Amino acid sequence: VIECAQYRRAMLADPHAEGPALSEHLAHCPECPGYRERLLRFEGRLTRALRIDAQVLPQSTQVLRKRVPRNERVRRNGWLAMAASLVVALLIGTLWLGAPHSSLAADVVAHMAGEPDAWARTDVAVPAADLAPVLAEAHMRLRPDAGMVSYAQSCLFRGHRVPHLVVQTDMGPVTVMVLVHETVATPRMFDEGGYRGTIVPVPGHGSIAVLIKGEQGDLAQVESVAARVKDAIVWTG
Amino acid sequence: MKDDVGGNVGKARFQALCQALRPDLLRFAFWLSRDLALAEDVVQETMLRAWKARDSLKSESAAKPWLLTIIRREYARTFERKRLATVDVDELIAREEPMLAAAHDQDLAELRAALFKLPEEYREPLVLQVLMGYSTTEIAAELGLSAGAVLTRLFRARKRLRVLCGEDTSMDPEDTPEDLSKDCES
Repeated sequence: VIECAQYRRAMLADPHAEGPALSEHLAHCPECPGYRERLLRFEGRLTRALRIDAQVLPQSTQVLRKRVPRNERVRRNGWLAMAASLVVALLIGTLWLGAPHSSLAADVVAHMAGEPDAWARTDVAVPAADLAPVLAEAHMRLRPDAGMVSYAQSCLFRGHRVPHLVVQTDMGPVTVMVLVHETVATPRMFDEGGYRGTIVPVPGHGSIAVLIKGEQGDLAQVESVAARVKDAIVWTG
Repeated sequence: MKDDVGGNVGKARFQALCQALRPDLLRFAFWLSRDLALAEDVVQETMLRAWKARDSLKSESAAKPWLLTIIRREYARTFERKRLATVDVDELIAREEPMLAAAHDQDLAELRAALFKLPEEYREPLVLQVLMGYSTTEIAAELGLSAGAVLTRLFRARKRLRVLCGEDTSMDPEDTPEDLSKDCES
């Protein structure tokens, strides 16, 4: 037989604890049932307090992506600010001298180096809740016939945030960058830095870059994916 | 997960598994660290470490406790590596206010602030029990404590939390001897 203090200590350690001795005490004690009830109400609140809503938690579309630690981010941001100033100065200098700046394709290829995990071949789609905000930032939606999107990030590219998507296709993962701020007059094929692809114009909405990794890929297939994705874009603004 | 993790299917399954468990892992890391940005870093690093060590995961059903163990180690490593300074709890509460008050329920916000004030030795077993559904034995194994010591910490955690939340504690028993296991034997 246990006493009230023992019973309550056990309840405070685990309000859902059960057993013959505890039940026996509960059946015969005039005060402990009420105590248990209040404790269980408190436990319900405690459970809700600990279970922070999933919507409030930071989302991630790529769980195996290397994350830059906060301190490093701050440090990098400082370097980035310095680097950005330098780039601006260099750009002004370059324009001043009238020299051509790097090609759009080269910049797209250079961007790929920063997100190698995006190229995973997978059958796991990005949750719609993660994809939608990336697309919305570029005032667009994507119809399902674009293919399964396995990666979606809003990336800084040439001073603008642009959707960086990976679509899974029969030929493997294909990267699509929606470059609403970059206009090209005609489709431009490229094959550089280990990537092959095309940049196609999207009248009124800049262009899209579509590329595959590796030097053996079939560019005709890339063009076909580019056409499919382009057709699947629904512009909302 | 030993069957096909080396292939692409394995990676996809592993990612899907991590994606499904991520909210709970983030919650655990958040309550452990009381810092959302740090929790996010720890969880992300945990996923990468888990992927590298995936051969040691015997089955998908064991993934959650396995990942929680890695989170605890990774968090400890972060402490070791960065030598995190002792922080002012009120400052922490102010910084994480959007998370603590996210439920738009004053009661919950107060309870969350009270949880921030619990010492880690009480907060951690409480989170494992209430949020992760661990039994006393499982918590003891995870924390390297005896079952009695775990029960004592859980008792003290709730007792202190109730005081911090202004609950009526007039019927709460006095503090306990170090080993509560006899009281809780059932």
